[in-house]
Amino acid sequence: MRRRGEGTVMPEIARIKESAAMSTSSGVLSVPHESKLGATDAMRRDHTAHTKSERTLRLAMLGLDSDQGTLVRAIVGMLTGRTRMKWTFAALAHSDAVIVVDQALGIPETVRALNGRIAIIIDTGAGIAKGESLSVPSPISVMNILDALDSAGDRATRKKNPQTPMPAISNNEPTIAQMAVDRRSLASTIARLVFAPHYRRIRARVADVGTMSICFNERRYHIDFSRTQLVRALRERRYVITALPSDDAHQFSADGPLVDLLWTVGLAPCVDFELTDDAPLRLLQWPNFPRLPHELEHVQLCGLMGGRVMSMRELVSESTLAAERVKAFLVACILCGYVQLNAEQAQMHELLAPARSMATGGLLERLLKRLGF
Amino acid sequence: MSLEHVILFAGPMGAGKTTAISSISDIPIVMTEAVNNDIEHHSKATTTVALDYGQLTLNDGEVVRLYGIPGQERFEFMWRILETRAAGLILLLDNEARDPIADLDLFLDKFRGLCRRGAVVVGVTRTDVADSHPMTHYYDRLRERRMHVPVFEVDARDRQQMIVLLTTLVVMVQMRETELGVE
Repeated sequence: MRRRGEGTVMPEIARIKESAAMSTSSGVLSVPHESKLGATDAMRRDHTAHTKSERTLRLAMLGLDSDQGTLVRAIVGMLTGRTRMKWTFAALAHSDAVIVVDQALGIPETVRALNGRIAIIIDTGAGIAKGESLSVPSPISVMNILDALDSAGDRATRKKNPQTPMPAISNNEPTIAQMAVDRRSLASTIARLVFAPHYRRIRARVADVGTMSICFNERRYHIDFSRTQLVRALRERRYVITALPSDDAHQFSADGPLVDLLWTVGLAPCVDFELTDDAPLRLLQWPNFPRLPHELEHVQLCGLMGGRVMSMRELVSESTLAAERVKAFLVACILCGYVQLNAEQAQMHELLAPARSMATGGLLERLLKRLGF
Repeated sequence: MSLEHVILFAGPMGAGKTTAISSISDIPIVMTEAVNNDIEHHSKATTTVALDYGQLTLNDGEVVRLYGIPGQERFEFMWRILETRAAGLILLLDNEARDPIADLDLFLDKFRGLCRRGAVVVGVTRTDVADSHPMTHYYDRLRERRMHVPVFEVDARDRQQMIVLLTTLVVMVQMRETELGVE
């Protein structure tokens, strides 16, 4: 049996810090400084994730060694704004929930100290925590702590669903490989990850929705929840992203083409993607409209863009569509690789000139009417 | 006098032209199938030897006529006749064929006039069973030819997908006509 603090804990702490540093320096993922450890200031500022309750719950630790304690503090700090309830650390006597190592439960003083408080048990394999709904397998993972805190929060506030089962965690579950949290929507983070060379296989655990796995290299993705929940998941700001090992191929056995996901991400109103009005854009290929949800105006925009480099400002002007609609379409195209950002004019000048005005009415209108559109 | 519009469905043998017209036609399509003696090019049992015909009737008797033209080059004389009447061309290519990029070249050359008018849309079938040619291969070839033509992955049996091909073609044609001031 592994002794507490042995083997995995210190490397995990190091990896959290390393990940945070890398993310900040690369500009790929921003990890707010205050989210690394004890983020009470951030908790006060971030209102978006705590819409269900403004009450702050207090968390204590019991029986954890110093490495485990540091790891738990780091994780709770990183989860600031991601849990359903606000959590802050407090002394045991004033706590609503206690994170305790299973081995300590065999000590009478520990049991007395818990005194009916909600216990989140770190299951080291001693057999004591078996069957406990609020147990966290060791090595500790971010996603398990997130679930445990949400379940403990539900119990503490006597919500309807206090017995939320812990998710099944496979043996291959990475603990905290490379993790980053972000204050943006999941859609915005995915949009940035598309262009992040270091993050090629990721899993996003989305609070109250489920898990999404993405393999950017193989252009596949997988969700363990209904597609009808996809837009909701993309809007969510409470999520944890974990990098997956490159050999974790089994995650993508039942999945769909990544372009379906990225198209939805691009068109989502919650996506935050920097696209300047005058950036030169070039249509590389048409979105596969027969298999992607689209509006007629998307077809018309492609017709305008074909064979030349143009900016969003020009496209808005020539299409007479609202700027936000044109931008959403362009972002979806850029994420899917249909449109090249910062294209060079010289690449296009010899192509046949495309149409330069939108078509309306006429045969098109009558045809669409006849076909029931 | 009622208006009519002619849309051609072209492509090599076995690309799905007859199926595509069947998917969107208002009427049971008129087919001219015969036993396929050209097994070298495609193994299907029958093939179109004259024309497939289907139609969509709009309000006030306006008709969109859908002509599927035989895929073999020996029927080129028929292509010439129909091209002059056509508003646009839906070119279907079989991704499982020996060289679909060469098929693309062949038909773009043969229907050069419609290409110049921006009145061509390409649908690539059987991408689910043959992935040796991703869409980027077709677009690369089009760029080499300095042409701007939409290329889509499609299933000719799927009515909705065929409607998207058709509406895209109509959008392209109308945008060009609007630009040129054609009524």
